[in-house]
Amino acid sequence: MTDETAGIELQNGRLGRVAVVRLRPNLDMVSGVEEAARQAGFSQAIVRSAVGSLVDACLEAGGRRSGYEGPGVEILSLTGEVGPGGAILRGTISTPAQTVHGGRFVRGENAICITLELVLQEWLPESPPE
Amino acid sequence: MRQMKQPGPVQSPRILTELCERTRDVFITLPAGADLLNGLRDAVLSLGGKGAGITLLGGRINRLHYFTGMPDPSGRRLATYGDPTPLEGPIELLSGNAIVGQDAEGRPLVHGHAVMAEVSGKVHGGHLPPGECPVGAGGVRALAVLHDGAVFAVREDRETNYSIFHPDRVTEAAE
Repeated sequence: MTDETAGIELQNGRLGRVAVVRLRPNLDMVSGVEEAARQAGFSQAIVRSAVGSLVDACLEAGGRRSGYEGPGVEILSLTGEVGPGGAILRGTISTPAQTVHGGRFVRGENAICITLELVLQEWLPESPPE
Repeated sequence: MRQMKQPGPVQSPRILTELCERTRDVFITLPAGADLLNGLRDAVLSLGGKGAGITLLGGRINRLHYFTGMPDPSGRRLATYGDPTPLEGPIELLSGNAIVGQDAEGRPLVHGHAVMAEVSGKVHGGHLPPGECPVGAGGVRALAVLHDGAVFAVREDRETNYSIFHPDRVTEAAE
């Protein structure tokens, strides 16, 4: 019988403080979320909620990038985390053409349009990452 | 990455962050007949919360209309909402996010975007207006983190020409 738990990594910990954040227009969303976590003093954090819009969107799915033209691309859902390697954010968007798309938000390619309202929550591992 | 000029003067700082030490996690089940966004708002208020970040976990909506963004043809703003798109139910709510904060007068206000599927499986998504999304059979489930100490409050933003949520500290006297 194969050991199906091989390779699974587990990290015990708990959720901590919450940061209430607004990113203003033209900031890159991925690096802006990282900077917000840094300002809050969170070395690890998860996205608890986010509502906002992008000038244009650039999403990666399965290694392929797709661009969606705005302005006014709505962020419908956002999930992800900020960790030692930076922010990894995935979610869904709607376009001015009323189509819905999803993927991982590409760093440096997703400028905030009007705003990003973001609720980040600190993750406090029992053993800090090395 | 394309950046676009806003109608008003650039404001600073570019990232606004307020910390909340006290938080509380709550699972919310909205019953059939409740309004999706107002129900979430009322659930947070019933617990004495002033602000919350909410993850929509899914459920059924009887009918709704939603809005998607588009360039503002008037030029007063960079982007605006287009005409509402109506959807007849039953509609399956797939995911989304909502934020409970306060309007400019301190009254509770909720802002939410969501992804949903119609019976054919076609997927839609956009901004959902409060008071216009009755929950269907089986209800809607959501996970909320309530936060004290700071909330989102509506303030005029000269840069974008919108009155929108900004992080605000909650003073002890107001708590």
